[in-house]
Amino acid sequence: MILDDTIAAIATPVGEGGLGVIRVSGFDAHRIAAQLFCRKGGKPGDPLESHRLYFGTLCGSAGPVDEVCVVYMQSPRSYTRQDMVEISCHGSPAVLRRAVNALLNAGARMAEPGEFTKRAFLSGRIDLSQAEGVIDLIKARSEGAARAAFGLMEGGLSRRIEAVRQKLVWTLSHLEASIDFPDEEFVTAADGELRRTLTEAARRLDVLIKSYDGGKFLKHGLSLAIIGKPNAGKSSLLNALLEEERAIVSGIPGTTRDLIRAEGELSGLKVELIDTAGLNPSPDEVEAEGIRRALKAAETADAVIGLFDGSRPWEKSDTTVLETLKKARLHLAVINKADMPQRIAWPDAAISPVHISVKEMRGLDPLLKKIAAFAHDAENLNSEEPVVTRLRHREIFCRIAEDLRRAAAEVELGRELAAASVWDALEEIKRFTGESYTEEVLSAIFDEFCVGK
Amino acid sequence: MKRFDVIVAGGGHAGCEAAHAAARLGCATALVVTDKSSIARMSCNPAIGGPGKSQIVREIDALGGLMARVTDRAGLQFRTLNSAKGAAVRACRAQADTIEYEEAMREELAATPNLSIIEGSVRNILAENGAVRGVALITGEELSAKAVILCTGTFLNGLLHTGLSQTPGGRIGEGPSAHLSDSLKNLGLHLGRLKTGTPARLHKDSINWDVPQPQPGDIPPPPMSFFTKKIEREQLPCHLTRTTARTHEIIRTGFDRSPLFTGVIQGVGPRYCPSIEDKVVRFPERLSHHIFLEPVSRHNSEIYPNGISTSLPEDIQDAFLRSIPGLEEVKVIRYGYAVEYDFVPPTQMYPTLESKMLGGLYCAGQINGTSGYEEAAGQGILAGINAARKVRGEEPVILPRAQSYIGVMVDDLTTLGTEEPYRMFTSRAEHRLVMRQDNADQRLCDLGRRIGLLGEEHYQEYLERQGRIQSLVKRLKGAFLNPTPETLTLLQISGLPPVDMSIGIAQYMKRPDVALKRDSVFGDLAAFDDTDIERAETEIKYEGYIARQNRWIEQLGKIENIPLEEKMDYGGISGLSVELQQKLNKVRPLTFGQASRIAGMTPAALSILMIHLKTRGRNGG
Ligand SMILES: Cc1cc2nc3c(=O)[nH]c(=O)nc-3n(C[C@H](O)[C@H](O)[C@H](O)COP(=O)(O)OP(=O)(O)OC[C@H]3O[C@@H](n4cnc5c(N)ncnc54)[C@H](O)[C@@H]3O)c2cc1C
Ligand SMILES: Nc1nc2c(ncn2[C@@H]2O[C@H](COP(=O)(O)OP(=O)(O)OP(=O)(O)O)[C@@H](O)[C@H]2O)c(=O)[nH]1
Ligand SMILES: [Mg+2]
Repeated sequence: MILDDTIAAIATPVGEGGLGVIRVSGFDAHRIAAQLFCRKGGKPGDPLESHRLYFGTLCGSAGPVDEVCVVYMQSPRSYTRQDMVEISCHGSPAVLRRAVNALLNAGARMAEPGEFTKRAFLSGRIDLSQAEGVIDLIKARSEGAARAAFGLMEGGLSRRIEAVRQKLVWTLSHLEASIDFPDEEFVTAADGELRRTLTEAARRLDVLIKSYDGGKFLKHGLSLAIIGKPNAGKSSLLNALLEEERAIVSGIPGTTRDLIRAEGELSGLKVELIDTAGLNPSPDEVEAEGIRRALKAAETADAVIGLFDGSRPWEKSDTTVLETLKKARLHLAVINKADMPQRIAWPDAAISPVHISVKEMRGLDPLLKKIAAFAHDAENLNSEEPVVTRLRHREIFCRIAEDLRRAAAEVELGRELAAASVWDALEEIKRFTGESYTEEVLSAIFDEFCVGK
Repeated sequence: MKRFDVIVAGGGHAGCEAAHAAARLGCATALVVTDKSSIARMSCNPAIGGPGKSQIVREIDALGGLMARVTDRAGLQFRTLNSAKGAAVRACRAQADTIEYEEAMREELAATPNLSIIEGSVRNILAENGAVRGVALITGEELSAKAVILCTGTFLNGLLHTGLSQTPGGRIGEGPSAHLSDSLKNLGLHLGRLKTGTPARLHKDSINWDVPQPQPGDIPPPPMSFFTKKIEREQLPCHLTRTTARTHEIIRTGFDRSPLFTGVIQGVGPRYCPSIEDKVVRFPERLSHHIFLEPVSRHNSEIYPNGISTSLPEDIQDAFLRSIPGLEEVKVIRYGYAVEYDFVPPTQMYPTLESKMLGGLYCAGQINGTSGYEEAAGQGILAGINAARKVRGEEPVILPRAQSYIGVMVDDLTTLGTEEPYRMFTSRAEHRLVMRQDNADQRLCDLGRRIGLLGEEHYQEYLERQGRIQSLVKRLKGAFLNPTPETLTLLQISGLPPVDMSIGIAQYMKRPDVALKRDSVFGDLAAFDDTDIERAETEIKYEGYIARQNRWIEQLGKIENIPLEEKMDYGGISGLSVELQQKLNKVRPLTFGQASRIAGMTPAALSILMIHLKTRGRNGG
């Protein structure tokens, strides 16, 4: 990719819309845009003042294209830090295509996916992790994902890592000083203090690493299977959570025969709900297949809700549900039909079930909170703590934490060894921020973008 | 007119190595010195080595240079610093008998074929068609040569300061080289100004030796050179004393006559080697600074007080010295002074130390903005090698950062330049664990032999040692320890921790509390000397780290070694900031790696550069 040419692309989604925006970035952005634009009462080629909105006509070689609003943002006060122009047209695909063609004919090049953001990164306006935040924000499909992505883009995670980096630089200066000035008397920090600083820094990374599990769900969403015996109210619960009559509900046991998948947003979290066939102890042939699929779904889903019928005594099939449920890393036991006399005897003291009544819509809020907690660490819920959502970050943080634990152990073994490990950790930090990168890493990241961003 | 292949101007530590290397590589070489009796003079402290520096001295040794050998002949005390730390950062330091050092160096030079020593002072560089053609001396005599190496140290426009009085000079008792500065400027080179200082020299018999605490050398004394078998002579001790609160008080009373604080000195001093007046100002909370009293020679009565370099007026020097325990009656032989001098900012050199401005002109040593004998000598040998190779029409030698401290230093100097006197530290080397003083031979003897500087006899000695070390490492890696009663007893006797199950010896040796010892469980070590044993131990103990650093070096190597055209015009690359274009045009890096280290380089600038390279390649340049 080349930085010294001028790129252009449509920045809004294809399709009819009130507005469509075209972006231009690069050395010639101003010249190209000014040449095609004629403001009310002006003439083509009139220079544009930076950060001012102009109204006028955009003309191509074959005549006027559209009435547009134009903003010129002079370098470095722009998204890419280069000269940029944004042109708002009417949102018709044909108009936008003509407008872009006019720009291309005047010397711009069609931008590659993510190229604007790549320029913002390469010009040093944002670091690599912030660029990743931009992609995540564009792609965010739920409130939680948007919040996490915004944090990343705005530099929340970068700042956390910068704080760690400063601790490491401090530690390194003490390690190095005692090596390079053995005859000097200045006091370098004692082994114990260096070890503590390193361990503490490793712990901060642990917190970030741990947030990944939740962060992953925030970003990609969470699949949640509901299992239970026939008639427990699984389909009813699905409908209630989705606020939509998605699955058939009836008093006849064995209503649901196949998996039903439905997507929704619960407490800001994107969730794929999976309703399943009831675990009937003596199924017919079709039911048996349904049950097989239900168990498979419970195995592969990120989380499992085991639904029990509170109005009925404990049965053998409930035991199957409980056992299946416990195999899932994230699980919830839920007892339904709290509106009826309760006859269930809960057998497992280690698990405390949530009581609800779908019929009366009772207990659903606490249930939603528990589902949301799958994604956030319960205590971190809604806090300002940054969340790790990308595997790349998680892997880097794991390596840093490992480097730092090793360094802490090495302080007493040999300060030069500890210093080598801290160097390694600092190099990893550079990979996180993009200070050091390879072309492959960059491509992998910026290829995720759509054109125009 | 006398004709030579190579002329070296200046017989300091850089000049000696440069002249020796060029002459040994077969070039008719002239070493031009103002005063033959000042060859290899130690202008400041009588010590060679220390962290970062001993590595350089060992590298010079492995390449076939002189400094380590001469130090071993002239040393009067030898110590290993950081001995409690790991092998990677251990450093030899020798106190040198400065008179014997000069003598030994003169002998080495006299025994070097192809080398003439000419007394005289270089006044002008002679150039023709963008290339050097010789030098003119103060006397008007001209000498011709295809390459000239300037090693004139602190002499370019040198100005000595003691208090507010100033004397032109390159060093106490020696005049400056004023015209040479002008000659360089006329050639288009740009000059900067630096300063450094030295303490008073004290009379041995005026010191009360009962007070300071003696600091003996190591027994046995660790030699500096790979090729010294043993140091036989008796060692002298150094002594430790300290400044007092009273000392600092007296020093403060001299500030109004300090050339440093009154703004008389314009040059930038070394941050890591500050004068005592600097220390008093910068560390007001410290009530005392230590002072090492170091003998200068067996043949005179001078003592060098390390740690109190100063340019305060003489009366203040007398007064503050006498406030130091043990120095109450001290007699000063020579007062401390500071020297200000011109230097040639080294970004004007290629990593061969040849100047970009004028083909065949090389600079080495303090003239390039460094400080220290070892740094000077390291550049000297490299410049000598490259000047000779240029004359002979051979490929230049550029030392990579991952291979030597000399390489790190020259890359730092030619890529980043320096704002203050540059001193080597181990922390400047990112590959410290693989670039140790103990394995400098492994890193550079092959190169030394290949270019013809390292003698065949020494090279064979190196190969034999290498063979012994490798066989020992292999043997240890193949052996096991079993917790038999005999083994456990043997371990206990030799003070080693017990084992509770069968374990590979190499594995066992990686434990921090295990050392490779003779007469223990490690088998018969009679065939190996102590160095072999230490080296084998280091190789095994550091194995994991070395593998890690080597992987890293390999990864870097991919980008590091992409060549850049010397003559490339960076002004033509749009997308690069003007500032970076200028920097690149100034530094003119030879590799992509070098470019990446230029201050202010951003990932963006690097990728623009990379693209530029690729597109040029496609369009056939
Ligand atoms: C006052 C003082 C204090 C110092 N303090 C320290 C310190 O604290 N720490 C430290 O590490 N280092 C210190 N040094 C530096 C150390 O001495 C030098 O770094 C080292 O000696 C530099 O070696 P060199 O070969 O570059 O130059 P030098 O050793 O200075 O040798 C220069 C040589 O060039 C000759 N010469 C000069 N001009 C000409 C000419 N025109 N023609 C022919 N010959 C010429 C001189 O006679 C001399 O032989 C100090 C030096 C001085 C003078
Ligand atoms: N009283 C009461 N009845 C409920 C509640 N939730 C569901 N029901 C009733 O229970 C019956 C079964 O509901 P479904 O949602 O179809 O049950 P299911 O678990 O999907 O059953 P299968 O698909 O047959 O496995 C229906 O008649 C629902 O109206 C509740 O909270 N209270
Ligand atoms: Mg159902």
